[in-house]
Amino acid sequence: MHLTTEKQFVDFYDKHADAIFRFCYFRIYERELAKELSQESFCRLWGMVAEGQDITYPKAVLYRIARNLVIDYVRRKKEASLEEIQEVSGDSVFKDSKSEHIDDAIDVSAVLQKLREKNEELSEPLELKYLQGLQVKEIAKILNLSPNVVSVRIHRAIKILKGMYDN
Amino acid sequence: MIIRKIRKIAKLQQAEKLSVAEKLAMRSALLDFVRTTPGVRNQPTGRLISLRGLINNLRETKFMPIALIIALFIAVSGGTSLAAENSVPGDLLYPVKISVNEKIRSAVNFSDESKVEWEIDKVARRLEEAEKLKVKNRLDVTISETVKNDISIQTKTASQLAEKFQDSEKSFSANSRLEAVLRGHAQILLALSEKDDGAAEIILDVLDDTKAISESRVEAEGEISAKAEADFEIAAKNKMKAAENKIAEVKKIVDKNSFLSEPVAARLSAQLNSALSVYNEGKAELDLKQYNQAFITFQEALRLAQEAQIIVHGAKQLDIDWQGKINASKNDSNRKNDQNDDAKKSQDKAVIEEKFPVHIDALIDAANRINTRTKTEIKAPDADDSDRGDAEDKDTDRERSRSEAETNAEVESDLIDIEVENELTL
Repeated sequence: MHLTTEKQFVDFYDKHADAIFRFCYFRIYERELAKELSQESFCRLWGMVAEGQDITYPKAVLYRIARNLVIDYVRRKKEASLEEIQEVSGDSVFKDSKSEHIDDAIDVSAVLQKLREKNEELSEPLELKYLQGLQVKEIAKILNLSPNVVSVRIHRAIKILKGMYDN
Repeated sequence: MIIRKIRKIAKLQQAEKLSVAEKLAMRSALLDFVRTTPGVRNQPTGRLISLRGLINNLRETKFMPIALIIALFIAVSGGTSLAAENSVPGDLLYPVKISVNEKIRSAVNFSDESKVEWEIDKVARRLEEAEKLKVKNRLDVTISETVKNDISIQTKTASQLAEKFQDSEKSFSANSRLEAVLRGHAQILLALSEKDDGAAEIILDVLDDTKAISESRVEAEGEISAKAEADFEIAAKNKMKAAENKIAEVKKIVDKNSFLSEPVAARLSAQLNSALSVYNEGKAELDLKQYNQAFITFQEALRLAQEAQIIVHGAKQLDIDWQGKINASKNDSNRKNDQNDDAKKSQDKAVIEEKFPVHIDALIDAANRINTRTKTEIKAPDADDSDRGDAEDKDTDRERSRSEAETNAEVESDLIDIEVENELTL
């Protein structure tokens, strides 16, 4: 899908605003900031369109921009401890869900968080695939890798995650 | 099994979404941005997009009435708002730009950093307006005075907000960007004022502010140097990345440009080379673990690149004399051989240095020369008197702008209060 007109861009925003917001939010856990980074991502994407760049995969480019913004932000800020993140995410993310689902989700969420801290290279493609629902082809574009490498990393991430979860 | 569990998390995460009001506010700000940065192939329609789809989404929510009011406002004012974006002081729609468009954009800045960034953007907008007016030859005495005041008030607002940061690192970074904006635009205005004074008074004011901001930056550098090295390790590395990205970004534009005259392109390349050599100094300091100094040095590299970016943007946006010179230079260069190129390069260098002084004092001298030249031309019959008159005029003008600055400081602090109130209301 090419973004060339204002209408196409606004339709694109309507379609992906929530997803990109979630993508930012579940990495920085600050709602206002996540909103800001999401908006900045769309603005930068439009900036590229306005410069005349031919963007074949706008969704992948949008995620790549958001990812870079989040990385910049996280680098600036001292890393929050795992406990803090669990506390925040547990409160805000799973508040309306059934209790057994919450326990389950918090367990997996903690393991995912550990993997993220231990090996982001593996956790990132996995999260993009299963949490963001992106296709391998799209993830490859976002991370600037080949689809093959992405699949291998997802496979390895699942294997490690299983081990961590069982323990 | 683990995948099923992750999918469960994904499902739970789906519950976290933007509220309709948030989505609308972001959408409106985005539309505003899109319209101020029109794409090369973009044909702005000036009306709300996907209104039907939006209303369908809203139908079931409690935000329907508020959302509809906002949507209606955007639908009705969309075209006006779009037209207002390109207005300059003296235009009928200029108040819409200031009181509606900019207020909306202010309302969607959530963090302190982005608020300061936006205030600095507004300084750039005021300066761009001055440049447009100069190009259109509409900078008469009254408008010139208004523009000068607006720039001055906005610069002070941005600078005071930047000073309010508790964190000296953030304050330093914001002041540094503000300095880049002022210096970059002062150079554009100087280039535009080659043939007549027009904007000389404005330039002198801008340069006065630049000097003041530059001094506070130097003070902030001192404060940063006095802090513990370890505190700046991450900050220095981030600043290095930011400087690296900015230099690469501007270099890419300068390299592939087709709208810059050769002297301007050469001047920008020289500036980027300076930025690069400052960047390398920073890297050496980083290797020696002098994190504070490295942070300051990378910021300087970033500032040089930002300044170059402003000049590129100015050259692109304003259809000024540079465009004509490009064509002439291109035709010339087609006829020249390699040996002649060297001679041309050194000739260009002299032109560049004359036309685009880099140091602040040189910029002030250049602006003063333009100012004096025009006044001398006006009072040509009595040259001696004219010189004296110039000096007196300049003194009076500087005094007047100082007293205005004091008044502006008071007005400006009121403006901040009003703006904060408006944001709270919105």
